[in-house]
Amino acid sequence: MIILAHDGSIYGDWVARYALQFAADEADRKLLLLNVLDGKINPEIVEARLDRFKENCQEAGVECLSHILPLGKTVYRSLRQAIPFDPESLLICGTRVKPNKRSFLGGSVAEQLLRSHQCPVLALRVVQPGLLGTPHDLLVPLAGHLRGFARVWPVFRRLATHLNKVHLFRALTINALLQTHLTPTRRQTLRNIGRTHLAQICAELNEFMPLQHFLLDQSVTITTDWPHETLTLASRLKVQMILLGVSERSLAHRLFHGAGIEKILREATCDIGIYRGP
Amino acid sequence: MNEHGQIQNLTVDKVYHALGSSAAGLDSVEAVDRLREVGKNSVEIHDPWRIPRSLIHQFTNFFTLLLFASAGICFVAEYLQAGQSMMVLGWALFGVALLNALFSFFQEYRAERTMESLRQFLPHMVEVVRGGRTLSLLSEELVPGDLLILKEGDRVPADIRLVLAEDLVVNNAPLTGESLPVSLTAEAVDSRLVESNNIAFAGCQVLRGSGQAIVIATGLRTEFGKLAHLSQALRRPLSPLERQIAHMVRTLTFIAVSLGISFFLYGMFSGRSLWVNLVFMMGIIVANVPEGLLPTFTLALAMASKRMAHRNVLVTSLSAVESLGAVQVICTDKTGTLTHNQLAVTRLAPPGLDAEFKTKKDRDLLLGLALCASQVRKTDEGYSGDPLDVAIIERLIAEVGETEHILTDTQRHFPFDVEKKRAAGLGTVEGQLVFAVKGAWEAIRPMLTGIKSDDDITLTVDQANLDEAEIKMTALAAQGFRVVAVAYRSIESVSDTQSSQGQLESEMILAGFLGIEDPIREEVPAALTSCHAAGIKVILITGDHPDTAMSVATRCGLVDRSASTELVMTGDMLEQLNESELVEALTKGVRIFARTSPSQKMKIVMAIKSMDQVVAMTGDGVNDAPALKAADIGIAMGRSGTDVARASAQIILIDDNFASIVAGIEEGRTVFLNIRKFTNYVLVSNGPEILPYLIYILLPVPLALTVIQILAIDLGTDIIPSMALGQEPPDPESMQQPPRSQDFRLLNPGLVVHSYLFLGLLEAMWSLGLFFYVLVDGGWQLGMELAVDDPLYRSATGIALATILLMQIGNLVGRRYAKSSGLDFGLFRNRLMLAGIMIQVFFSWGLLYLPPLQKILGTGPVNSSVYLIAWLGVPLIFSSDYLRKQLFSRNDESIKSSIYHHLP
Repeated sequence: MIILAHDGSIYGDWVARYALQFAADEADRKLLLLNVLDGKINPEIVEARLDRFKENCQEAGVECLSHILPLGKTVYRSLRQAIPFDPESLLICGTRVKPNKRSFLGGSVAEQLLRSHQCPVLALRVVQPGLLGTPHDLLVPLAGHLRGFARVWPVFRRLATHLNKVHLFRALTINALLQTHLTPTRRQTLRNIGRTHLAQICAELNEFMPLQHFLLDQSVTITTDWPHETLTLASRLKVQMILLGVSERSLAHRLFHGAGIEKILREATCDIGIYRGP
Repeated sequence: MNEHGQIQNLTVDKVYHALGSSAAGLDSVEAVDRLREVGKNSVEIHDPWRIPRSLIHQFTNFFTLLLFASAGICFVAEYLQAGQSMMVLGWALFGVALLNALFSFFQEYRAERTMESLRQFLPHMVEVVRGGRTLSLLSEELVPGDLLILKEGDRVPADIRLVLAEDLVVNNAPLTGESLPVSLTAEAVDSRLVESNNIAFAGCQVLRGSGQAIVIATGLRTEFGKLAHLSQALRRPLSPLERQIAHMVRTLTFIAVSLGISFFLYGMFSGRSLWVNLVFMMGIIVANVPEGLLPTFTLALAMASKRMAHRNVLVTSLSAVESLGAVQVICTDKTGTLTHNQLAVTRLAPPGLDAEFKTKKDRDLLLGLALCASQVRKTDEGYSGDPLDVAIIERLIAEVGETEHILTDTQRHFPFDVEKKRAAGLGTVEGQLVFAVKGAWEAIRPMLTGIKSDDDITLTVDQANLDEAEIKMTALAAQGFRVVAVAYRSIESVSDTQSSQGQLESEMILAGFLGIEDPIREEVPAALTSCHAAGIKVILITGDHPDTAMSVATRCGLVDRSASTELVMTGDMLEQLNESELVEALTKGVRIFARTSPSQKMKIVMAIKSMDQVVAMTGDGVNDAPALKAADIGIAMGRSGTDVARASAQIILIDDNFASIVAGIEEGRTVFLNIRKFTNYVLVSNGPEILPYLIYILLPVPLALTVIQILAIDLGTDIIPSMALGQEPPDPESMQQPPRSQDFRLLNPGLVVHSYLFLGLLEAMWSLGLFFYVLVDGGWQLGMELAVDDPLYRSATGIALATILLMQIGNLVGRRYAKSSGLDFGLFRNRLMLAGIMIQVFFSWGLLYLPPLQKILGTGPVNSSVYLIAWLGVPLIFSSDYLRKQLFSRNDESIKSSIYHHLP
């Protein structure tokens, strides 16, 4: 089942397109629509939007279960109580810029949902509503975790239906001072480490999905600034979506890695999907 | 149609629904909401800290910091010994550091210029429908879902999905590089977004017609925005020389500071005063850091860029001067770079199997018919019009001379239609009223009913003679010609002259084929031979047909005549390859990419870069800008290039000629070899600068060289000779060697040993020998302390300094060539070298005998016989070095082979 946290805004509509596409491809063709009445948007507008979405679901042959939730202590808490613990489901929510702030994910409901991880979560930043939730070209930056593709799989398999091209990307981050002293041999060694990792991921992907209808590409870059590399690669490949993992490993990691994710969310030229990595 | 697809797959009513819009457009409140959500429709990256950050970066890089530190040392030296012009030196260094930083800053700031050029492609104001009313709106305020009105001449402000199209034709050149117009529709299509003809992209222009469209993506999310994003965000990698210098500066600074601190601590523990130890530490740091070397790099590159400009290579970034010399792969365009970009009709072929027309009359008829279907105007500068049409009239003039009557006798023109792939005309040719068509064979073939034979007989079309014509056409294409078929029919009745093109295009007779080619530039084959000899791979990337690309590559010598088609890869094949497969294909020898789109250039560049090769890429279009920035060297065309391409490139070819790139490479290689020469030269004087300090701290002896004297060498007398070495002419062998290995370091163990432990030690021993000779001769004994103004000390330190200056002359001459002595091959041709030698001679004499110099440098006179002995240092260092060259010439070969390596 697909669970959609809709905030009642036009942005929520754009995010809902993804949910609808995913639900249409699910075996049970079910979608759980959650909305918390937080009063930020006129309830009549919200109702009209949700009704229109339900119509879309009906047209697409998707069963839509709608839960309009009263606002509890926070929007997140209200949502958390309504989200079932189900590793087979996928929760979809949007992450959008907060007024007068530059952060997208930090402190958002989406971040809290990613952290609680009651079921696999996909937080979306939609900037190309014309794609209608069916990106064809996907960029998957990978950080080299040992758990490989398992975490991204629940999201990836749902996106895979419409994909033409998937680009796996590994950015090997080095210190800026070290950069000029890096010999070509060392650079090659580092690249080989990255390539080996991506080859493992490809092998894993082939295991999960033996019949691939999309073109699988991969590249490794040695860089001092992985968010910048990710953004430029996305523009270069003209991908329609970046699928990015966030991690919870340590405070320092969150500080540095989190800043990079915010930069990507702020500057990306395509839609971004964020899942919780290992 | 796919209901779960993207916006291009939906019918018009569903498009409105999907984007929450309608035929009345968005309402204003909704539009404001959306604007808040997605931001302005601007292709600029909003980063208020970009300029301050870039400025700070330029002032905090190691190179600049070192120069500032050197300036600081001068100010400290002035404080310690006032009145010795150290302040002037300090300010000079400060100025150099400032200039270097600002220069680099302005180079980075050039991204702004790219942005300005890109901005021209987007309109300022647009017409939209909002709330049922048509409004004129700032383009920046457009949001997804807005209903946009398009009319002839408009620039498209965002990526849009057409909902109404009336004879709408756009030019997608800024995005695709394809100048042919594209006809658009509002119907749903089943294709990829970027290939859909119901989508118009930001930056493109409406050539004809009108329409309405829903905005689907704005700002950086548009296809044009992605291009703009890359143009702004891509950072050029450090050039090979920048990496080398950074490595050298850091290594030398590390050695200097470590030595300084170690001996400071040693001095402290051995009981010397803090002040003495501080002076000593500063001295050893100053002695180790070649302060003058860094500004000399800049000067050498600036002079080389001036020389390159004389060879039609305009350098917009100094580091590119040397980078060009390190190039291992050149990715080049065909049209205009390898060829003249001037079409010429070089073959006239009859329809049958005969190779040539038998009579001149037949040739003239074919050209006359072709011209009848062309549209050219006579201007003061000659003929103007479509390049193909101009080529036809020029050939006709060459054949028959006067053609004015044909121009005036053409009654009607039917311009070239992209979809029909042909143009036509109605007029009088050879005294007869005819309707003539010229165009692609596949477009002409279906309308043929006859084929003109050699005997002025028209044969009825059958499969056999059609096949013969097809074979002829294919054979011409395989030879690299662009083939245009020409057909005609006689017009018997005047009423026929008013018929439509469709009605006229029947019962056509094939007159023959025109073989058109873009001639190869005369200099290109030699330039390519030079590239092969220099171990540089050249890759041709073109939008042309593979056969045409192969033919051009063969004719200009890019590939052998026996080369197989395996060397060619088409854009479609390229699209299906991932990066590692492309790398494999390149390693296996693919040299030609045909039928490629400009965006694929980037893929090729990135694959080559992942092979750790230094790559140069040529380009001229707007969409070439990212690839130009991503390559190690971006080369834009000066004549045919767009402003965007020029702003993104480091090098601009004034004459668009490939041969100029090769000339630039030769200059770049020379620059690197010269930089290596003067680095070696400068580091030699570090030896006699360091050794006195080591002896001073270890033994109870006076200091042979003061900080001011060291700075006088590093920032004074060594500068002009270094520049002279930077001006040395190209080595004839420089283009006979493969590109230098990326493993090769400017500061490598060989250079260090030669500079410090061989020539440096020799200079140090000779100068210190004379220093102690003067001291002992003047009555000094070991352990005796001398005041800095003691005449004996001043004389001794004076001769030490003078000896170093004189020996640097021998070092200078020896540095000119790796194997030969340096006295040969026109020593006097390099005027800066003569000036450098004069300066060394003058200062070595002046600091001993001229009171103003004595006062500044703290030196004193010595007996002239001692000064003459100092002169013996010149032949000593020169002959020792020459002996080494002779004895270890094999080692020189090994040095050379370590600089260069053969590509796999």
